Amino acid sequence: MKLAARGTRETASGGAEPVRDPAEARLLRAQARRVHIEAVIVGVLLTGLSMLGAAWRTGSV
Amino acid sequence: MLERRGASEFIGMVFHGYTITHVDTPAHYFWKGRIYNGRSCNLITSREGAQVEAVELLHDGVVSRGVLLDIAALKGRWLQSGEGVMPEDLDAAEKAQGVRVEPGDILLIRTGYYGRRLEHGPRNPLKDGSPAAHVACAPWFRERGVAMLGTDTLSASGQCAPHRVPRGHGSLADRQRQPGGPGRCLSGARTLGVHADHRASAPAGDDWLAGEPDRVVLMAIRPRLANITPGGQRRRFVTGVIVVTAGVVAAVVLIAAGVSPGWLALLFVPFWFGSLGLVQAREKT
Repeated sequence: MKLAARGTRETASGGAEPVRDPAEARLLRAQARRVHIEAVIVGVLLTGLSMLGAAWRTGSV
Repeated sequence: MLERRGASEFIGMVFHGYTITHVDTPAHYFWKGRIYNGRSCNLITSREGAQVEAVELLHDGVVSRGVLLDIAALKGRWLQSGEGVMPEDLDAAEKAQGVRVEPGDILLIRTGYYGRRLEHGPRNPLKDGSPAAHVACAPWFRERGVAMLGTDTLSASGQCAPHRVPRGHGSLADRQRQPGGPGRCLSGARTLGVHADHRASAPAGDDWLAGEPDRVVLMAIRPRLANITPGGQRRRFVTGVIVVTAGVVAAVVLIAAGVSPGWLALLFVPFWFGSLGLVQAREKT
């Protein structure tokens, strides 16, 4: 994701090389956005579940 | 080395090859890692398909003027295996037929090669070659703005047997044999190639065709590119699993300890970070 934001891709040697094709870079950025949004949604859901569990345990709900 | 190995099934349809009439797009071949318009060949992968210049461009069909140039009629015979249609043949056919290929036209070139098959039987195009538009026609196609190219042979623009290629011209087939060669599609002219390949053209009973028409593939493809290596993908996956597991364990411990729900909001950090790793691994981004 960090690589996509920088417009680079990982190489087999562990380094990074620039993505020169604008269409490819655009697609990668869009993918990175999706990844970020999905991770936030999953994080919120799991946190919410945990909080719900804690609330149930403490008798708040 | 592992003693035990396995394989998984793949159900799909390969709509390519010498046995199936199909359309090639400029995404079909690469030259020095680039496709048409200098775009990266990384935009096309076996797993994800073509992200640009894909055949889906034609999903609504193609409507344009079609022009058939009958080279066989012009020469009064079918073209031989490996014989190339030259630009002067196209000019002569236009003149003889009283037509002119204009920008946006779909150009169909008839070589009459199928007549040879009916009379003398099938040949193996991989061994014997096939008539096709010669690479020398590429500038002609470009100049006329041909939108699509179709032919009645096994390949729109190649498989000329080397010994049959006229001297003084490098054939697409010759260049195809070079590492990273452009192959048999005239993508330089941004021409979509339609092959009138058919089972009947194939040498009957030859092993090289065995099974080809029986493959069936149904795939749902969402555009997805990879900018991390399989190693990076694995690292992100492992990190994601570890961090999410740690978050779940922490949540269980905190809940069991009767901690106030507000404190568990802090678990968003491991849950988000772990999910990020897992989704990154899945998306290869």
